[in-house]
Amino acid sequence: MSALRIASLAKSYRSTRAVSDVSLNVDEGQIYGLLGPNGSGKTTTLSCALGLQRPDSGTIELLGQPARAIHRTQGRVGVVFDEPTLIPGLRVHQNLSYAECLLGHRGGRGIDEALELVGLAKQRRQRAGQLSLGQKRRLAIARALLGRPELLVLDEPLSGLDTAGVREVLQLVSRLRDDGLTLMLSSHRLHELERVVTHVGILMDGRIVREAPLPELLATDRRAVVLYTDTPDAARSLLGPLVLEESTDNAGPTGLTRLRIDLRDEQPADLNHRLVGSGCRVSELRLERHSLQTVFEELLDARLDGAADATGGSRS
Amino acid sequence: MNGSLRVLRAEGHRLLRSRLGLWGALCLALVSALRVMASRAAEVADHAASVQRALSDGRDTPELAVSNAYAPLVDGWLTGLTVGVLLLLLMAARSLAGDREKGILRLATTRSATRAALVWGRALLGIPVCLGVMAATGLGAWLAASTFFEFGPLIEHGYELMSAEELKAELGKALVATLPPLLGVWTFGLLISSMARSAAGAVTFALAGFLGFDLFKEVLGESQYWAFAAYSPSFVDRSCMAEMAGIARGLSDAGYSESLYRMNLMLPAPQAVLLTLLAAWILSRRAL
Repeated sequence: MSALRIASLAKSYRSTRAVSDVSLNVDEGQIYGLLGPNGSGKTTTLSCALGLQRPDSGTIELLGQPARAIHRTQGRVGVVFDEPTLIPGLRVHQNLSYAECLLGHRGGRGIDEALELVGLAKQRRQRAGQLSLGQKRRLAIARALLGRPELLVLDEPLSGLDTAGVREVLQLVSRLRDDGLTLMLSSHRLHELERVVTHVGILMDGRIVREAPLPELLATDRRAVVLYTDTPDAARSLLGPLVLEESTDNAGPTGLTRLRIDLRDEQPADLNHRLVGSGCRVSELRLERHSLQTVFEELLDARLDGAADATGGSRS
Repeated sequence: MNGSLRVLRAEGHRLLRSRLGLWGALCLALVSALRVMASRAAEVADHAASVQRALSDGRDTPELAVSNAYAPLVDGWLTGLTVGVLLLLLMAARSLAGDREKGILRLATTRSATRAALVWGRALLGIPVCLGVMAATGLGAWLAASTFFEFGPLIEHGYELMSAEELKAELGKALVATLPPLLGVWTFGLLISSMARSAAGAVTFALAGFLGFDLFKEVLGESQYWAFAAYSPSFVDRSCMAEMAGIARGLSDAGYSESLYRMNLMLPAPQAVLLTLLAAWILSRRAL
C-alpha cells in the first residue's frame, strides 16, 4: 500500500517554476531518498506533500488523505523539518510534551521512550536552545516519533551535522527501518544516504529525472574494472579495445595511469594474472561499482549535455 | 473544535512552562504595586509639606492620615492594565508570526491541527491570559493598597459618599467591563500576526495600529465607542476602569452611562470573533 503518492505535482513562485510534473510513490516499509542538488525542488515537493503549500496542480495522497487534510492522519505522519523548529525556551521534555498536547494523547510511543530511542534521555531537563545542532536534530526526530507514526518525513536530516552527528542520525534511521517504519528523506548528501535508502528519486531542475529501487539504480550494464599502473603501454597492447578510458587523475595513487577496462565475462583475478604475465605492473585493481554519486554525476552530465545541445554549444 | 482545544492546551502548557509567562505576570504585578506606592509617596510628601507649613506658622503638626485604599487600588490596577494591554498585544502579535518564522506552525499542522484550529486555539488562550493579566495587576495593586492604605467607605468631610460595598460593586462592574475589550485587543494582535511576514513586523504594526487609534480616537467623537479599543485601558484612557478611578475619588460626573456600559459589554466580543475568523481565513491561504 502507498504511504505517499504524488502525481503530476507542479508549483511555481511567481514566474519561477520550482517543480513541474513531479510524480513519485512511496510504498509502506520503504526508505525513500528524495535526492537532488540544492534548489532542485526537494523542499517544495515535501512542503506540498505535507500540505504546507498549495500546489498549482497535481494530486497528493498521504496515508490515503489529501495533503491539505494532513490533520486527518491524526499524527500518523511524523515530520522533521530542515530547521529543527524547537521552542528554545522550553526544556527537552517540555518540547515533547508540547507536541504531545497537539497530538492529544493517542497512546503509542511516549516522551521517555522517544528520548531513549534518540539517545537524549540524559538531556531531558536541558533547555532546547542549549543543545548542539546534532542534539536538536535528534530531539526533532524524537518529537516526530511520538505517538504512532507510520510515515516519517525527514527534510535534509543531515544538513549542518558533523561526521559524528551524521553517523548518529543514520544509525537511528536504520533502527527505525528495522522497526518497520516508512521513511522519506530528502538530502543532497548522496554518499551517506546510500547506506540507508531502499528507493531513490532524483530531482533536478524541479523534475524527477530517475526513480528506482537502489539496487536497480546502481546496477550497471557493463562489468568493468579500474586499474592503476605505471606501465599503461603494456596493458594497452594486451587489452586493445577493452580499454574504455585512460586518465591520470588525482584520486588514485600519484604518478600512475588509471585505466577503465571492459571485463566482459572474465574474472578480475584472471585479468590480473594476464596483465602481470605480460609485464604490466598493476598497483591497484578493483571492480567498478556504481554509487549514487556516479549515477548522480552521469545524470548531471547528461543534463549539461542536453543544455549545451539546446543552445548549440559544446561542453569542454 | 477538538483541534482548537488541543492547540489551546499546547499553547497553555507552553506559556506556563516558559519564563516569559511568569516574568510577565510578576512585572505587571510590580507595576501596579509601584503605582500604588507612588500614591502613598505623594501623600507622604503632601503631609511633609503641611508639617513644614505648620511648623513655620507655629501651629500643631497634623497627623499622617491613612486614606481610603480604593482610589489607589484602582489607579494601580489601571496602570498595570495599561501596560498589560501592550503586553497582550505584543504576545498575540508575536504568536502566529513568530511561530511561523520558527516553523512551529508547520509542526502543528502536521500533528493533527487545522490552520483554523491554530488560530482559534490561540484566540481561546486569550481568555485565561487576559484573566491572568487582570489577576496579576489586581493582586499587585491590592497587596500594596492593603499595606499602605485602609479599605473602607468613601468619606468626605465626615460624610459617607459611598459605602465599601457600593465601591466593591462598582469595581466589580468595571472589571467585568474590562475583560471583553482585552479579548478584542488579543484577537486584534492575532489578526495582525496572521498577516505579517515576521514577528517584528507584526509587533510593530499591532502597536502602531492600537496606539494610533488611541491617539486619534477623540477625532471620531462618539463613534469611537463602536470599536472595542475605545473601552480598553490605554494611555488616552476612556475605559470603564478609568471612570472607576473617578468614582473611587467621589467625583460626581464619573462613570459610564447605562447604554455605554451595555455597548462595552456587548460590542467587543463579536468583534473579537470577527477578527479571529479573519485571522483564520488569512492563515488558511498562506504558505507555512
